[in-house]
Amino acid sequence: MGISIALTKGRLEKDTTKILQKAGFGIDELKDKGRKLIFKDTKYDVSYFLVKASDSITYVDHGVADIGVVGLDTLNEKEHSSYELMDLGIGKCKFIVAAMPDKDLFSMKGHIKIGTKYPKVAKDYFKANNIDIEVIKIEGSVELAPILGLCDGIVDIMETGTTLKENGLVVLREIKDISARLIVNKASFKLKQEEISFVLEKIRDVISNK
Amino acid sequence: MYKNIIPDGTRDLTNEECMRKSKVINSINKVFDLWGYKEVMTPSIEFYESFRYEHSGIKEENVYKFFDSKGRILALRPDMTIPIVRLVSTRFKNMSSAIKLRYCANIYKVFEEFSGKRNEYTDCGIEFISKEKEFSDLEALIIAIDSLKSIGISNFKIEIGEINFLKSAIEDLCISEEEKTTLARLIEKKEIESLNKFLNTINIDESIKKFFLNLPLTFGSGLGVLSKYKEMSFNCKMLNSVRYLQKLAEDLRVIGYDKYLSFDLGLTPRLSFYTGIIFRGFIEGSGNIVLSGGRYDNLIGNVKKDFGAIGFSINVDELESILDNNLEKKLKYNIIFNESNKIEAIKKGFELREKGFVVELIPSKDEENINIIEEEYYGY
Repeated sequence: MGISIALTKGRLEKDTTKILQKAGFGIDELKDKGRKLIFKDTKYDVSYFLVKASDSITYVDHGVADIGVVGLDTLNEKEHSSYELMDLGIGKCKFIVAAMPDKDLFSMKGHIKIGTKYPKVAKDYFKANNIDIEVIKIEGSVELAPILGLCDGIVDIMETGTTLKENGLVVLREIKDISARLIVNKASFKLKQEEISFVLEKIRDVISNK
Repeated sequence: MYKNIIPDGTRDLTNEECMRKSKVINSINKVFDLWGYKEVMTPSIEFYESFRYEHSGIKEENVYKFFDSKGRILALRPDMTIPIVRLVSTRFKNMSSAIKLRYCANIYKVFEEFSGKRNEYTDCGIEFISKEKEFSDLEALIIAIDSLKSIGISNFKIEIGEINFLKSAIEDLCISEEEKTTLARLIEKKEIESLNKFLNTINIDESIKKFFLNLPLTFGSGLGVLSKYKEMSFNCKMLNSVRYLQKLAEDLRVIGYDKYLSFDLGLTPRLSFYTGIIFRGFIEGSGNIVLSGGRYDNLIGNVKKDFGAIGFSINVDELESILDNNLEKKLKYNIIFNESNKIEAIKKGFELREKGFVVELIPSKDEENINIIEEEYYGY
């Protein structure tokens, strides 16, 4: 039985293919991809496709893909029913709360507005801290929002912190560490246990030898 | 404004779509009938309160709610087990023998927009309420397998778990209730990394830590996995759970059903009213659970003393969506007739219908006499 893997394109793509290559998969097509969307493994009965992070979860949840590679940031934001089996240790970054230097969100009085691409993560975090906030969903360049006064602070992912610094924002809290995870569809794991375990084992070997 | 659209997660079905769905429903119902289960029908609307009790596992935001004329909250039923329990406590109150019920009902749940999930779907299921428990478990599993077989699918797995296994493993740990819940959730969702991290934050024995870390990845078909569970067990309750499953599995093996079985004892079901075995069905081609059920003795014991219950339901819409066209080409007749031949055409129609054919009568001015044309159609 063939296995299909939904890979997240962009930030995680390069590191993921590296892991797959080290694990001994035939990913020649993935390296030289052109405009193709689906790639066949040259050694095993595995096919890959590249999609956006949150789509990767959707494909796996519906069982169209058996396995997915996706960042924990996206997994935390989206309700899903798949198994989260492995930390790939790539795409490492952090969820953080940041604001302009003069705004200490955690001792502020009155209404707090948080701009973020991750409404659920933001809400959950502040709720856990007993702080009531209003979330404003922003699709990109979240750093801009507090500068222009759209919101009091932001919840975002941070890799190095350079963008934040350059825009004069300070990190107030680190919410949690993030890295890419390997997810598996519930039904697939049960019906194709052998095939999926084979793929998992190979990848696990690479990761534990890192 | 909403003239031409239907709410999210609902569907219109027409002609062949209806036939395909009905065919699946009929096959399943027939199996239930042949095992002696009697049909019940309950209202689609119930009091919301009925579905709100501890451990119901039903989230408030997933239920369609509205008010009746007295301001009481009503709900479109989000599951069928609760209505059946109510029925048992009223209509079957005085019955002292086993009660075998089947239903085929539309279930309503509010899911997130654009998630591709259905907010209205049809469940066909059975509930077996009796004082005897071991044989009922076996019977329910056999019927579950038979009903999936009856639709003509062979590549499916019924995954069986026993909730007391994990429950008793966690029960005696010296950790807070909240930590117990987290532990169970991480194991069930097989979040290996988070589980690993979490285990390092709580104060438990190393060997037990190792057990919890291994548990999510110990599952599978074949009876061998049960021996593994046996080795892993560290208290009698866990051993008893495994032994019970071994007994069930052995019976199913003898009747040749072992190839459909799979085991996972890391399950802690969302609907936490279950008290014994729980099971669910997976079919190749569907990423979702198509069948789910289990034993829920406490719920039924509350309304009928000394009785236990086991039941399961099959999500017909999920099943139907992955079946190949299950309809057959059949012959039907169109009788085209002139006004003056009306009676003759009607009589001819009776004659053919008597033989079991579908006949359509079509009056036509262009036809001078009467013309009978054969036509193929998809039916069941």
